Amino acid sequence: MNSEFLVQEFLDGSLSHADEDNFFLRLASENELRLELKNLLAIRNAIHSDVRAFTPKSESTLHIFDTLGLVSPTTVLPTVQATAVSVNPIGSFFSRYSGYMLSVVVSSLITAFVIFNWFDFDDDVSSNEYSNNISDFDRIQFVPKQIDSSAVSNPVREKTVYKYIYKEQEKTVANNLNTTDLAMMSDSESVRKEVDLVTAYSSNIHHTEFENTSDNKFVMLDKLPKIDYYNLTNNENKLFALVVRKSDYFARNFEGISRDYNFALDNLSIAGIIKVNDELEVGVEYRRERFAQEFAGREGDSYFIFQQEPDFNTFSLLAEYKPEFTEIGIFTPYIGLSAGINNAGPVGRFMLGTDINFSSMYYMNFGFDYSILFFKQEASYFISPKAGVHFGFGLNF
Amino acid sequence: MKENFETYSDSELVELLKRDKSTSSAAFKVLYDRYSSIVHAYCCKVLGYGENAEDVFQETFIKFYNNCNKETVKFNIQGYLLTIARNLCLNVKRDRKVTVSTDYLDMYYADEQPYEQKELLDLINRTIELLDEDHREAFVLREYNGLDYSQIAELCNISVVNAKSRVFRARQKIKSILQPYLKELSE
Repeated sequence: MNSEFLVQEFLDGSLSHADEDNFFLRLASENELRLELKNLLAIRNAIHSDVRAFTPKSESTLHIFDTLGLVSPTTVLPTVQATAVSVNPIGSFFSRYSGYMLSVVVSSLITAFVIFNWFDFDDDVSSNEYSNNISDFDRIQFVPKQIDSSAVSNPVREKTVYKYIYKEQEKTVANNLNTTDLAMMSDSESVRKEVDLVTAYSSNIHHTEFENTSDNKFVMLDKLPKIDYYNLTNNENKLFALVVRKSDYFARNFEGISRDYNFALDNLSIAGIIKVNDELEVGVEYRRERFAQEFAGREGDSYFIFQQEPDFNTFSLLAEYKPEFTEIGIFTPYIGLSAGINNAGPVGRFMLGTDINFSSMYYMNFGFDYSILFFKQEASYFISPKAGVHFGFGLNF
Repeated sequence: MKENFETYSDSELVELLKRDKSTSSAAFKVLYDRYSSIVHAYCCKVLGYGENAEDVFQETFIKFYNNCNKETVKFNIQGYLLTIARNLCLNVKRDRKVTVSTDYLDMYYADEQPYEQKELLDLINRTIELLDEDHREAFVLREYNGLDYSQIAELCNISVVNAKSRVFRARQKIKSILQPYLKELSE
């Protein structure tokens, strides 16, 4: 009798007394037999510890008793439910209220879409309407500052003027005269001396100017405006997914532009994503987002940097790669790339983050992302990058 | 004073199922406590974790209760329940492709369970899914449900020798697949 069969017979209790004595004798002398017994015992012990297999779900138990019209086993259910809830309370919560939450999310997305596309915010708040036409800026009633004699004597040091371009109501402009402009003037004594606030506040365009004491070379912003947005990805083994994300970007405010308006509802995206295989997901995305734009121009002897921060409607193709070997528990890391276009130019985006899977239907996510907008102004090309963190949640269908 | 049905035999409990709601509820609960774990294990191992297994598990007990009210008393309740479960599993396998879900895999693992045992159990579960259906069923009935070979033979309509052979082959295959891990574990 070979050792494999002998051990199985022993574990099944099928050996006679004589065979059992013989088995113990061989066990004492044969390493192979001991290893065989050890392995089978390890498998058997592991099977006996398979709590999941031996524990019916509380929902199943309830369903059986409810269907049969019997009184629910109160001594059984709390134990099972307590186990489930204590291990994954969030998943249990999502499972219980999934219907309500799905309704709320869908309603919210539809409402946001309607608001952003049909509601005119210009009626009561200021607006940053995107413009790629320099002629729009020509309409600004700008009075160039007279260059003093010292500046003329130094041809290398030209004057740079910032123009903040946005439309707003008259009363808002009047308020800004005492707040924004004064704040700017207090930045430094040198700036204070050079400030020559234009007298164009009677128009609906607000602009200020000050001398750039470094040089007149166009410089991109080192920090970028705070922009929040949402987008969509896929998860788990469902074919279609909807994900919402919100971002915070490391940003520097343009001095003359207020972004308080419409902050909570700005920059939304909706995307449908299809799972190609276990690791790759692709989809399409619509996103309403902000980019800070800064580009140069010249009027007379002054060098201007125009700044605006409009909302864009970006349509993108999105791909997310979620390598299986990086999955740890409920965390599924991903790398995302998207390429899109809006009315200013092409947009690229890179994301690095992780999904947190609470159930097969819901998950949350967070991570880092970097976006860049390429745009052309007259004959020159400019870029507007932004970097930040995002967080959100996803729904699988 | 409330009766303690836990000391009753299976056949006595089956008889009590025909009584009033309160009595039948208590009797059914005791039978459910006795056999739900093995029926659940059988369904999950044969069909894989997921909705199919849960549906069959529920249907098995519903069918059992309804049959007990119509038919004569069954003395081998475990065998009777597993027969119902087996037939329902065969229906499911015939009607649709079985999918295996790994949702909530960690949900029922006790925290005090050693990591090595969790890992081994996970590997065993994956290995069981690789077995032929006949070998898998025999192995589950032997190792999870504790049936002896004659009971397995009766349930599966095969000979005792055949039942023994299937369990032996299943163990062999599981062991051979797990060999590298078991070797590492023993070192």
